[in-house]
Amino acid sequence: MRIPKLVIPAIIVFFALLTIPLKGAFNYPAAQVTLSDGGDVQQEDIRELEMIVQGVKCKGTADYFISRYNDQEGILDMTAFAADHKVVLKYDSSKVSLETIKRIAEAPVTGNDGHEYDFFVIKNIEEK
Amino acid sequence: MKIVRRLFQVLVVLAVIYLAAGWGERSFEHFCPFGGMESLFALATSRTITCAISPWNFAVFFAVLGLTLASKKSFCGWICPVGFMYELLAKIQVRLFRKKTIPPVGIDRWLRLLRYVVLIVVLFFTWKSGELVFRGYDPYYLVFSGMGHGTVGTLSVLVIIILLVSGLLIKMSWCRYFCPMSAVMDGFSVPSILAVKRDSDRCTECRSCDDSCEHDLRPSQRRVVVHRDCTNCLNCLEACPEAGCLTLTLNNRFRRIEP
Repeated sequence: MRIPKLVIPAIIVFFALLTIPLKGAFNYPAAQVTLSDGGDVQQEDIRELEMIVQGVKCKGTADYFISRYNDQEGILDMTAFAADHKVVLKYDSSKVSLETIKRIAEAPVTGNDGHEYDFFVIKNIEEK
Repeated sequence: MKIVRRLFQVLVVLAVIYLAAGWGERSFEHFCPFGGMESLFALATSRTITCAISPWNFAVFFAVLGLTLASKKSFCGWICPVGFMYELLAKIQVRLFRKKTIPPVGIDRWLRLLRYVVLIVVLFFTWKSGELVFRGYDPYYLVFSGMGHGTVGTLSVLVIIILLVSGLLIKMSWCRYFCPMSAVMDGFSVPSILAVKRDSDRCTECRSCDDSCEHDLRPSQRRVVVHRDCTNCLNCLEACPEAGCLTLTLNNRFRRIEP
């Protein structure tokens, strides 16, 4: 059976477009941590936040970003997706405010040269 | 069709340059299928995924395997910027030396197996380190990053010089002998659905198709071009002066992998 030559570029375009849904299948979290089981938290105080953070771009930066909240009371659970620069955060609003969360996120990072850099910048923040 | 193929190649190179210049949201590395392969291997053996990797690498890797099953190594002939670069080097070679330099058929067949050695070495060191060790020696990364972060200093410079010079001396040397992604695709290319078929009754054995083949697969000596290195670039179809002699058809015959 003779196949038209144009089938080849058409197949290539098809597989190029196929990468878009395929990419979604591999959108694994780069870092995930549960800081509190939330046992002593009132249900109505639990809030969920989704942030797009410039700087969260790989496993290393995602781990580092999450580690900034280690000592902050009221953070229950965090997941960072490096591919989308997305951080999903669950927190106890009676113990930590949105402003504090933003401040910690955007606090300057001290580089190896001793200088401070604005490495993480919140591009979008959405309360769920 | 040659113009369409060139258009695809130029668009991909422009897109990669755009990303490499930092104008896009993603790194150009995120669209390397071999990065996906290396990372899958690292994930399976070391349970780690490096910073250079994104879900795009995995998506592109599986899409390339799917494309290879459908249309042989079309990725290499239509998309891969390194393949395009080596096609251009082959053209420069003809201008410089007035002829194509191709090793004798027997040697060429065995040299093509070198890429399996490259693949095994890369996977071994990926398994040992859990890192994308190939980056420092990969012409895609070395050229488009401008010898950036991840290269291994003088050794990377030496490697890229050798690879580019080899492309000037031997046609498509990287793709034929060294590309580990090509080695991965081999098993998917042979049973591919689409292949070029030759009608021996119409063939006048003018060998125009042989001259036009980027990978010197000698279509004039085959009934069906099932060779694993065929990229379905369709150069042979366009070069053939006999109407209907070479056609793109469904390949439903299983053939052994030729060395």
